[in-house]
Amino acid sequence: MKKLLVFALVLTLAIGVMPAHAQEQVTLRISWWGSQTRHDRTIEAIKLFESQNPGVTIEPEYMSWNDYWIRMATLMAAEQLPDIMQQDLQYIRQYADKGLLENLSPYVDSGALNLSDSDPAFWTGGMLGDKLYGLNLGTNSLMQVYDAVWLNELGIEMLQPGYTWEDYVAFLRELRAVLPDGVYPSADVVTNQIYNLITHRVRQLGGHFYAEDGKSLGFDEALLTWCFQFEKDLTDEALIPPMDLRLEMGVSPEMNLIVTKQSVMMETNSNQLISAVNASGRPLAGNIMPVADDQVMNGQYIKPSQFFSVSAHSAHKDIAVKFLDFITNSVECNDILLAERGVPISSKIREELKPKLSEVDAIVFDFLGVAAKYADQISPPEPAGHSEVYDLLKTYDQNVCFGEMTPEAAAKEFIPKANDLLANK
Amino acid sequence: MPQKTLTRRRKRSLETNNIAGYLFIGPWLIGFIVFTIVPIAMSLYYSFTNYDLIGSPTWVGFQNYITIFTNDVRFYKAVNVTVTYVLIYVPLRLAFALFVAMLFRVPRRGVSVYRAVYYIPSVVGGSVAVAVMWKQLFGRNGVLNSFLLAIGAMAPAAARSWTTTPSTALGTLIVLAVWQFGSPMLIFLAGLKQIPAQLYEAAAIDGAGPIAQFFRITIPSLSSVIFFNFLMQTISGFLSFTQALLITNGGPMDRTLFYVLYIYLKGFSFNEMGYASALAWIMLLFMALLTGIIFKTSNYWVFYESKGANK
Amino acid sequence: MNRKTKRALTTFAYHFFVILFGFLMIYPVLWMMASSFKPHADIFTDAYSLIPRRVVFANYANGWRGFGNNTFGTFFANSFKLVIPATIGVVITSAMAAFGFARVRFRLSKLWFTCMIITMLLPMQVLMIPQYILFNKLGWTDTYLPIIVPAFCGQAFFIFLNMQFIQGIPIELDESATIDGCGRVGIFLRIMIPLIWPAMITSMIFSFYWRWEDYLSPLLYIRTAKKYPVSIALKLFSDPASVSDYGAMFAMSVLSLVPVFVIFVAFQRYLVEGIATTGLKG
Repeated sequence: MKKLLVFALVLTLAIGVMPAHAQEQVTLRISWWGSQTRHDRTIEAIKLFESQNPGVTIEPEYMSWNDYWIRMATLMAAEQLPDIMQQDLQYIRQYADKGLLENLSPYVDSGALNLSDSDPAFWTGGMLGDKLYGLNLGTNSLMQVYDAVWLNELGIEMLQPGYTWEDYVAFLRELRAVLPDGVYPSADVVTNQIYNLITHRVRQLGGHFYAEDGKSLGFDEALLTWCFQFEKDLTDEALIPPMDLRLEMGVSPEMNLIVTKQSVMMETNSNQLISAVNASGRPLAGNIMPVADDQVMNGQYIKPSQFFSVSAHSAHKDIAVKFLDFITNSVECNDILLAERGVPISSKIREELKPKLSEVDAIVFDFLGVAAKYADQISPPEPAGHSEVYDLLKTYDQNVCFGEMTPEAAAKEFIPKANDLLANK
Repeated sequence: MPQKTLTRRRKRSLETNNIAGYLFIGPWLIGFIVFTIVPIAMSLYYSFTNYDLIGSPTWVGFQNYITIFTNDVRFYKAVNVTVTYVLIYVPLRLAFALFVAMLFRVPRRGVSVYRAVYYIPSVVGGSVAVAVMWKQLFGRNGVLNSFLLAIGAMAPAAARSWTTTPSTALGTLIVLAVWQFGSPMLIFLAGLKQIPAQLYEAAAIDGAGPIAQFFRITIPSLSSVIFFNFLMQTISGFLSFTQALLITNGGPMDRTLFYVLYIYLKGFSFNEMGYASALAWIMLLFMALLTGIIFKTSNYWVFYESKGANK
Repeated sequence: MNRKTKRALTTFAYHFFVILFGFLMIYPVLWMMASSFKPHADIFTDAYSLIPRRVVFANYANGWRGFGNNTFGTFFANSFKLVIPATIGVVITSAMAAFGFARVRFRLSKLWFTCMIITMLLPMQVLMIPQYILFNKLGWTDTYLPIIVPAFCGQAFFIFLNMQFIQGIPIELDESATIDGCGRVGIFLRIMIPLIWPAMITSMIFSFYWRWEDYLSPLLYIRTAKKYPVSIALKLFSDPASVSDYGAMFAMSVLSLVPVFVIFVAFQRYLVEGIATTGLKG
């Protein structure tokens, strides 16, 4: 017994006096949502990082979008958020306001997170005030996807960037005249969701969807009525499909009408062009959104597809930031990721990747170049009440499009309700 | 055996036996105390608080309950949707399940294959794949529309997407629920097996035809199982959630906003766990009342071969 | 029409309608199977045909490959590790508790019975967070314990189901067994179990299926991907905001039906074959 004790004591001492430079074992947790491609590539990238940083283990936890936010809510309640978590524009402000995310600005200043190759327009979307809470993983912008081959057959020329709302409607009408019943010029007005239409329009008038403090809406009844009316007119003229069909498609590009050749155009985030092309088996192209004659600012903006944020409670923030830097600046890492999360923010990486891209990816890259010329600074991230306001807006929009309410009545009812919700959050 | 001993023994089998009772329900009771009571109590506590899942909940008294009843349109919508759903789907599903169980209870050639085929819908569950499938079948260009157009039951202009048209969305979810009638069917089959064959033989000798046999023997003998299925389907109807989440997401225009889906939205999308818990407790009280009533009425129409300790 | 023809006609009508409706019943499943053999570009462009234009097995190969190092082989194994013990536990303890409630008189039994019914009435969605916090305190997260251990404490639905069947059995049986010197345990093991066998089989089929398809509990408790069961893995193919591999998802969904279906086919005959309880009530 005694011998054993002595032995244990010696062992403890031995461990205690082991050389200080011995490898410290560190385990980090990282979580994201996504698809098979993303899971595979991110896991691959993590392995590369681990091989370059002996002693570091990164445990991946990946899920589907819906499940992700349930899990995060639970982990949040148990104070167990992962060290690095993928974040979204919709949620980042809530998490940051609750003090759950680490401010990354000091790391940028110190150079631990090197953004010198990245144009601020591509990464400031993760900022709240002067603090950076999320590192943009890839860039997106709203895109009008169209079937160039089909347009060619129809003998109709695609609109050129810089076209206006009027041009857009005229173009849809021109298409309507030559398309058979049941086939629509466009599958949707601004990604199937009125939210994006309002955002686009309110920005053109110099505002944002939400007021700066996030406690009220950033637009009035007149603007909302205009948007509802615009959408309703397009529906009534069969320039876009009726509401039930638009809802059936949902937001998945795979199920969009353009896939089954029931529409010539669709609106989506630029990274989703790839899914539409895969599902339809046809080449498709992309254009920017309409501008307005009276605009004071561009409605179009360059948007972060998603972020990586570091938990404020992480015990290994330095290593987490190191990983973020690796994702942003490592050529090898991006050779694995291949812009699956959107166009990388570093111009150096973009140049490196260009020759390795598939044809569709190249279209997306070029599109972002064009879009950047017609884009202005992104609106601040959505406030805490956003999901509820968004839900409410969808309901009123459906009321308008199913003919249950007039655009005026819906706008009049929605505005005070939404303001009430936001004020009480 | 002397009569006296028999009576004493008979009496003993009905005597109170705490040790045996707690021995048998022991595992359940431990689970209830360790894993269930605390979370239930915590949800009751949350229902009196404002709890956004961060830090500790703040006490607000009955505020959540007051808001629900006085200032929440969606609550009433959700109640309306859920009650409509339960009232239609429970009788339909039970009738269907019992009918099919009757068809498949007798061993006949091919019957075990049929049973399997009719049970398949009930194992596909509520996955993403089922949601996609259901949307496609009931879609604008889906099978239902093609069929209706082919037989001339619908004008081409009336073609619609059934899952996303406000007037039919709930209907398609009901169809889905009725289509998955396998679980009550299985219980009916198990129950039918318990009915002794002599009862039918005796009735046949008395000259009762199949229909008379069904009402005079099958229904009364099966009443405890019917009661079980009725109660359980009602409860699970009120707790329905997955299908609405995946297929319609509560829409269009909240027409498929099931009560539990609303709880889920409040709790996990809007991060108002206190409010969500209050909604859940209102439901609990309502269902406890309903279950109590169903139990009371069961005294009049459910026949047990033996009266158990709780009857 | 003689009796023979009439019977033949009835039989024909029976099979005709059963098959016709049977087709309606499995049509959606056939649709899913057909889709799982279609190449990516055909799944939605050729959505309405049951016979794929081109048959490919790529969806199965690609689906099975899984994510990172974890193939569906791992996910299936995980599901079995989770579902089988939980099902065994829940079937046994539920039958025990049912016997206790239905056949034994003991103090507070009514109270406990009421509590049991009430546990069925509260939506799981509001219990998830407190339950997570509880299991987290026990240090059970990222293991299967939060799912398996409570299963060994029975489940209200199955307890109640078994009770309904026990109450269909004449109490005289218990009494004569008592006379023969059987204790409660003896009655339960030797008399009840053989008689409520159909209810226990039913419990088993349901428990297997419910736990197989349940994704909410594993989602909360299982963190590492290599421990995911099939129900969660199936959801990892689709991301509405980027790319979704519906083909692989359909393919793996079809495969995930197989174990549940096999369990049903293997055990359903115990529910119907042979009218066994003859001689009980005579």
